[in-house]
Order: sequence, then C-alpha cells, then structure tokens
Amino acid sequence: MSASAGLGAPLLVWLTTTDHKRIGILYGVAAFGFFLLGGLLALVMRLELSAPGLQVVDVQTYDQSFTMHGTIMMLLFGTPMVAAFANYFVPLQVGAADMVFPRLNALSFWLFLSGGLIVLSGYLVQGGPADVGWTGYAPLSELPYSTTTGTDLWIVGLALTGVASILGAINFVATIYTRRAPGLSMFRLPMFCWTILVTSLLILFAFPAVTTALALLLLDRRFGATFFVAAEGGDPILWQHLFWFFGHPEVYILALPFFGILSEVIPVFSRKPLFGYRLMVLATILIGVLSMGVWAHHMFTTGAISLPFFTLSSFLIAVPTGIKIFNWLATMIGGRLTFPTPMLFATGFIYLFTIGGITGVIVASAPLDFHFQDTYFVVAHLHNVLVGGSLMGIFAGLYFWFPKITGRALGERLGKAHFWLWTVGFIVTFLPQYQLGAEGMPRRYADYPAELGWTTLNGVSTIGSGLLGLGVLAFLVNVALTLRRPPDQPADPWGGNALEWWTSSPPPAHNFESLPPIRSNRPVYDARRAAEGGGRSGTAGPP
Amino acid sequence: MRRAVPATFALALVAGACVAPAATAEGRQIEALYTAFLVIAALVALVVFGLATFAIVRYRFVPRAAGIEPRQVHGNNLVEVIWTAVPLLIVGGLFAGSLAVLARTEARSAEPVVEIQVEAFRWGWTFSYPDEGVQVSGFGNPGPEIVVPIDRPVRLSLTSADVAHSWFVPRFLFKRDAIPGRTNTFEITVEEPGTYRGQCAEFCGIGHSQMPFGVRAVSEDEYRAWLEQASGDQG
Amino acid sequence: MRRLLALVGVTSPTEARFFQVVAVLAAGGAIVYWFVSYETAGTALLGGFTLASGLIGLLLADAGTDWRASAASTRDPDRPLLDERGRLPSPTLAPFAVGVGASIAATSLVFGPAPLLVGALPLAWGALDWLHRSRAEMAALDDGEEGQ
Ligand code: HEM
Ligand SMILES: [Cu+2]
Ligand SMILES: [Cu+2]
Repeated sequence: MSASAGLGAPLLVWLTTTDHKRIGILYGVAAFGFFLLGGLLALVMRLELSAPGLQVVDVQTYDQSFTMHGTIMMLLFGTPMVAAFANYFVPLQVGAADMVFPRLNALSFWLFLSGGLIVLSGYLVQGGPADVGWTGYAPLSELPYSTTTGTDLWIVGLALTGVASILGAINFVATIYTRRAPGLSMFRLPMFCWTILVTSLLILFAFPAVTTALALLLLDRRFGATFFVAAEGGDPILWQHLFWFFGHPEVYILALPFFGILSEVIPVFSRKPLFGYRLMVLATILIGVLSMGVWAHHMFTTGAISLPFFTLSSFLIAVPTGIKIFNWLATMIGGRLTFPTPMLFATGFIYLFTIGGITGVIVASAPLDFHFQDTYFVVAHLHNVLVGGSLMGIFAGLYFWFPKITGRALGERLGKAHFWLWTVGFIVTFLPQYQLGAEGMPRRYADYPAELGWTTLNGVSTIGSGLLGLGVLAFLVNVALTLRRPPDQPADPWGGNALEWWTSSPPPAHNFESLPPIRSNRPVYDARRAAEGGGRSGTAGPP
Repeated sequence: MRRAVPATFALALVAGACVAPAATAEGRQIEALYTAFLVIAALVALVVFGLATFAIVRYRFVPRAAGIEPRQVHGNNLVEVIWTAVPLLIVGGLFAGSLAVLARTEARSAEPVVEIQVEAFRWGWTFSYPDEGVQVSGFGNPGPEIVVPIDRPVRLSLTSADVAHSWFVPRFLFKRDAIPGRTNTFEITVEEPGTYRGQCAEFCGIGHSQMPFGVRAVSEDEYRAWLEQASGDQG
Repeated sequence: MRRLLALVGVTSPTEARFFQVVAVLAAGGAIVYWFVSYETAGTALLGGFTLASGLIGLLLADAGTDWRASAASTRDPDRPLLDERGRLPSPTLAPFAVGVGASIAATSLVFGPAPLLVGALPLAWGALDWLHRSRAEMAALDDGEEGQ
C-alpha cells in the first residue's frame, strides 16, 4: 500500500483519495458550499418579497432563484449532506476499515460534484439557469415555454447527481450488510446506521423514477419526442407521478438520517439508552415504506388521483413519526440531561419538527389541501420540516461529531449563539408564512399587490431570514476559529455509545487499532462501565 | 423562559393561521374541518411540548446528581403500545372527517343551474357560459370578472390552453388545476353575495403572479340581468 | 426445506428479511392502490418497487447465511481488522477521471458532439486504470490465499 504522502501536493491527496473519511469530508464541504449559495439566493428572494413591487430582481431572475434555491437545497445540499455523514460514520459505527467499494465511493462523489456544477453552469449560458421550479412540471419545462439552455443543463446535471446517489446507496447497504464487526448483529446496529439503511432503500427505488422523468423530458426538448405534450398524445400528469414518486421519498431521505442523528445524540446527553430501540427500528422501516406510497398528496388539486388513498397513507406516516418523537422524549425523561450545543439542536429539533409534522397532517387532508396547496402555508410547512427539522439535525450532528472528525471541539459560546439565532430566526421567518398561506398568498410569486394586506408579515419574515443568515455566520466563524487551534480531543469526549467513539479523534487511516467486545448496541458504553468496574449493565438486544 | 417557549409555539399555531371566513357552502365545510384539525393540533402540540419541557426542567443535570447514573431503562411495552394506538385513533378520526368533507366538495348535482367553461392561458382566463352564449376573457390587472347567482350550484369545467395553471379563490378555500389535455369539473355554491378575488396558484412562467380574476356573486335576478346585458353586448 | 423457509422469510437472516418485509408491504400497497384508483403509472411504479425489493430479498435469502459467514470468517475475533487493512485500495485518480469525464461527456446531450470528445479521454483512461488496478489486486489476493 503506497502512502499518500509521496504524492506531494495536498490537492492530489484529495483528488485521489478513496478513504471514506476524506470522501465524507469532501461531501460535507461541497454540500455546505452549495448551502451557502442556496442561502444567498434565499436572502435575495426574501429581500424582494419584503415589500410589494419589484425592487431587487426582475421576475425572470426571481423564478430562476427559487428554482435554483430549491434544487440546490434538496439535491446539491441536503442529499449530499446525508452522504457526508453516512460516509464518515457508517464504516466507523459498524467497525469497518472502509466502505465495501472505496473507489466506487470516490466515483459517487465526483459524479455528484460535476453534476452539481453542471446544474449551476446554467448561470453561464445565455438565458440563465433553469426557470421551471425545482419540480420542473411539464409542460412548463417543455421547450416552447422554458427556452433557456439552463434547463437542459439542469436536466443533465440532476441525472448525474441521481446516478451518484444510487451508487452511494448500493455502497451503504453493502457496507452495513457485510462489513459489520464480529458480534454486531443487525439489532445491535446504531440507529443512525438503520436510518441510513432505510434511506438507501428509498434512494434505490425512488431515484430511478426521476431519472426516467428527466430522460423523457430531455427527449421531448432535444429530440422531438412528446411524452408530456398533451396536444401530441403525451400526458402532463405522467411527469407529476414520476417526479413525486421520487419527490416525496426525497423528503424522507432528508429526514430519516437526521432522526438517526437524534437517536445518537439524545441518549448520550441523557445518559440513558435509547428508549424502545426495536420499536424505533420498526418505525424507521414503516416510515420508509409508507413514504413510497404517499407521493400524490402533492397532486390533490390535479383532479387525477385517488383522494382518499393518499389522504389516508399520508396520515398514517404520522404514527411512526410520532412514535419516534415520544421515544426520544421517553429517553430524556428520567435521564441526567446536559445541554451542550449538539443537545440544544436535538432538543430544538423536537419542538420545531413537531410543528412541521402537525402542519403536514393538515396539508395531507385532501379537502384542506384544496385551500393550502401551492400557498405560503406549504412553503412554511416544507421549511418547517427542512430548516426546523433537517438542518437542526445536521447541526446537531456537526457539533456532536466535529471533535471526532477534526480532533477539535467547536466553541460552546458561538455554538449557543448559533442555536438561538437559528431557532428564533426560524420562528420569525417561517411561522408568519403559515398565516400568509392561510390568507391565500400563493407561492412562487415574485410580487404581490399592496392592497391584500400581506406586506407586514412578509417584512417580518424577511427580518427573520436575516437572523438565520447571522446564525450561519456564527457557525462559520466558529469553525474557522476552531480549526486554528491544535487538536486536543480524546477518543470519546462526550461519553458516547457507538463504535466511532472507540477510536482516536480523528481516526487513523484504517480506522481502528482494536475493537471492544460487542454485546449490546452500546459497545463503548459497556467497555467504559467494565473499565470503571461497574460490570455489565445496560445491554440491549438479543445475544 | 423555557416554559414560555412552548406556550408561544402552541399559541402561534392556533392563532397564527386563521383562514378568512368562507363564502361558499363547500368552503364552509372545509373551514369547519380546518378548525377541528387546529384544535387537535393544539392538543397534540401541548402534549409534546409539555413532555419535552417537563423533561428539560425536571431532569436537567444538577451538580448534586454528579456521578449518579440514571436508571438504564430500555423501553416499556405498555407505553409504546399506547403511543402507537392513540395516534392511530386520532388519524382515523381525522380521516373520517376528511372523507365527509370530500363527499361534499366532490359531489356533482344532477342539474347545475349554471355551467361555466374555463380556459386558462399564459397569462389570463377565458370564461364562457355555453348555454347563454356569453364569454368573458381577459388578462392583466384586474382581470376578467364572472358573475354567478348565490345559493345555486355553479359547475365549472377547467382546462388550459398551454401549461398547467390553477384556479384559486381564497375566500372559497378552494382551488383546482387547469391542465392541458384534461378537463376538471367541480361545483361551488356561493352563499354570501360579494366580489371575490381569484388568482393563479400553479407556477406558469413570468406572468404567474399577474393573472387575477374576479367572481361576483349576486342574486338570481341581478344575475339574469347581467346575462341579458352581456349576451346583448356580444350578440 | 430450509431453503424454502428462508425464501418465505421464516429462517432468512435479518438482512434478507428486511427486503422481504419491505416487498410484502409494497405489494400490499400496490394491490390496494390499483383497486382504489385503476391508475396505471402509479401501480407500475409501486409494482416495480415490489419486484425490485422482493428480488433482492429472495436473492439474499437464497444465499442463506453463507455470504455473511464468508465476510465474517476472515475476521479473526482477536484481530478483527486483519483482512480490512489489506484491502484498502491505494490512492487513485481513476474515479475522479471517470466521474468528471462522464459528466463532461454527458453535456453532449445539450451541446452536441464536442464535449463527448473532450470527456471520452479521461473517461477511457480512468476506466482502464481502474480495471487494471482491480485486476492486479485480485491477482494479489489469490496469491495471498494460495500462500496461506
Ligand atoms: C435558510 C433559510 C431559508 C430561507 C430564508 C428560504 C427561503 C425560501 C424562499 C423565499 C423560497 C421561495 C418561495 C416562493 O417564492 O415560492 C423558498 C423556496 C424553497 N426552499 Fe427555501 N429557504 C431557506 C432554506 C431552505 C432549505 C434548508 C431547504 C431545503 C433543504 C429549502 C428548500 C426550499 C424548496 C424546496 C423551495 C421550493 C422551490 C420551488 O418553489 O421550486 N429552503 N425558500
Ligand atoms: Cu410529500
Ligand atoms: Cu400561474
């Protein structure tokens, strides 16, 4: 095995790496870069909406902004951020030296990055980037209506990132299935790995639908086909089915892994095992499967689908989701709670995500959705789930695992400032949008009339988005300051449970020098107890 | 402070998203259903926020607990069954309520009094009354305005000339998509006279926010008079 | 008989049963969906979901636990990472070349043949290098096993 040191330039180290930890970092840094870009677009839009009239951008630019913002946040930030965490921590948590297919893993990353840049390259061509919404509804996305080459680049780039996600998912399943350390049965797997397993399942079976849709759309646009052109016998509804068959599971791809992170963080800072581990596993699987059967709740107003079926299936997801929330609460109750930044974000997640879940049940009811569909109520709901949920989970994970990844702990004071800016910013930005939606303000409007009384709440929302921006700034400063310090973190700074806390921070290239005996889903906890002379306690799962 | 946070959330949820009073019979049912959902939502939120706040306040680490390991509880079948079963019952109830309202919004009367054909286009609307030979079309602000009688079922058949649009009147708490190659039919019964602003709710390009329309609901007599005059204008 | 029990999920390992359970739930969803909607696109998608997860479940179940054993047997409980270190591939530019090359080539769908020519070069080099390396590793592995 040749050492990377001989290769010289650090750039080459990163270009040629097949180490899952480095690839995880690459994913994380690239995804966060896209996040900053998507966030900038969000601020531009919020500025534009702060008052009636067009002040900051023209309508076409606004349309391109929400298209690129949505696309970036979902597919170039959210999904790769999941890949970042999974890459770094799945092999560590199962006690392996790397993924099963390390080179394929590197290929996934480079395909994702080049695909993402191709999507963004729309900004360089005449006509600008795609202007069809992140949902790309046909026939608006057909050539006569969306004339910019940016839309074609959007199609090609997204198809590439889709392939990257599918390759990654295969790798995660194979790694969890075949690289587990001796003694680590499936029912001793950390919850984070279970959520990545189910997430991979969703990627495997949902992404092909959107890849197909994109291919058909490109055939329509470039090669004279008419799959979605009604006048030529095509079917616009078919696009919606294919898109949402991917699009709804995608939402859970951006939720389940962060449920997993919460299930890691909360027990550690409650000093108790996860409450109801087996029910949690079952709930994860049920959420995954159900989420494949609810896609047309995005199509209630098309008049083309079964309203009762999709109302009921969407309602049912609330049950396993509720189980998760109650199990987290039961983990906390009776514990010994401390609140460093990761736990703050985890607790904030429980509060904010609950609101998002509840408003999700409201829009899942077909008759109520007749009113709320495509209004700011939906914008509020989706950001409630993604900003108040997924992002809180992402930050919980980053603060929790930063010592493991870099050997340095992020500062607590800036971390707390970040948490409060983010929480208050979320409330101020997005709760007013529920009211705007209830009053009937449609989404994807670059402008709104002054006389409808939507001005004040929009202004408030814009101020809130500034707080969110400040929160991200606090995080970036925190990272920059922390990285300038020398690494000083022990293997297990928090008193962790899963195997990643067994090895040094950061771990060596091959991850482990040794492994503890694995007799429960908390091997590191067991080892710590044994070392303290407390004997074996707190084991779970079958022998 | 900690206790105030959840209370604010719950209040924001209940008070923070009120719909304008519905003007149609169908919309009133939707409004009633929404109110029921909000009440249940507030109860659920209170339970979750209450438990979370209880945990934070009661089980927060205090120095005198240092070194004491909490009891390592792994689960409890009874409570796990409870918080599986109770949510199931709740969503069952919500589903029944939704079905009941759907039965009303999806109902089609045997003989609607008024039939209107609607064609959406980039960026405006064409409304025609085929039986009466009246057509109203327009784009931009304030857009075309149609007139309907109150307390009578009005049937609209919706389609599009180009891309997907959506016919949305917030005071009716109702929208339906206009999709090329499809005709979507629905009925409304306006109960309160007045003029209601409608707008497009499905993204359709740069004119998307600039294609409002109006629905004026008047008494049967006024409606007849308007038809008379409109068909005269067009004849 | 054991094989049959595994195929229906009774004695299959958890890994296989995961996909089997998913397939059964998906099949239920597909059937109900068809009879409440008679809608083809969605039924086809759910059917595809059922078939794909079912197939994976059956293949895993049919393989019994052999694949698990073979993965685990190389891992000496006292030195659990012994085999792992040997199979870490050395740094390579091939995945980068394949990924970027393929992406550039794909933009041919938008810009005509020119990018295809540009992208094909790194793509071909990367693919060959990749193949070459994995062959060499396989050979080394075989040698190693014979030597033991
Ligand atoms: C951080 C602060 C954020 C702000 C201030 C923000 C703001 C906005 C705004 C103003 C819109 C356009 C609304 C419209 O005109 O319809 C929007 C749309 C959207 N946002 Fe965000 N956003 C934020 C974060 C996120 C995140 C983190 C995600 C996902 C992970 C996300 C996903 C989306 C999606 C999917 C859309 C819909 C795009 C479309 O209509 O095609 N946003 N957001
Ligand atoms: Cu959905
Ligand atoms: Cu529109």
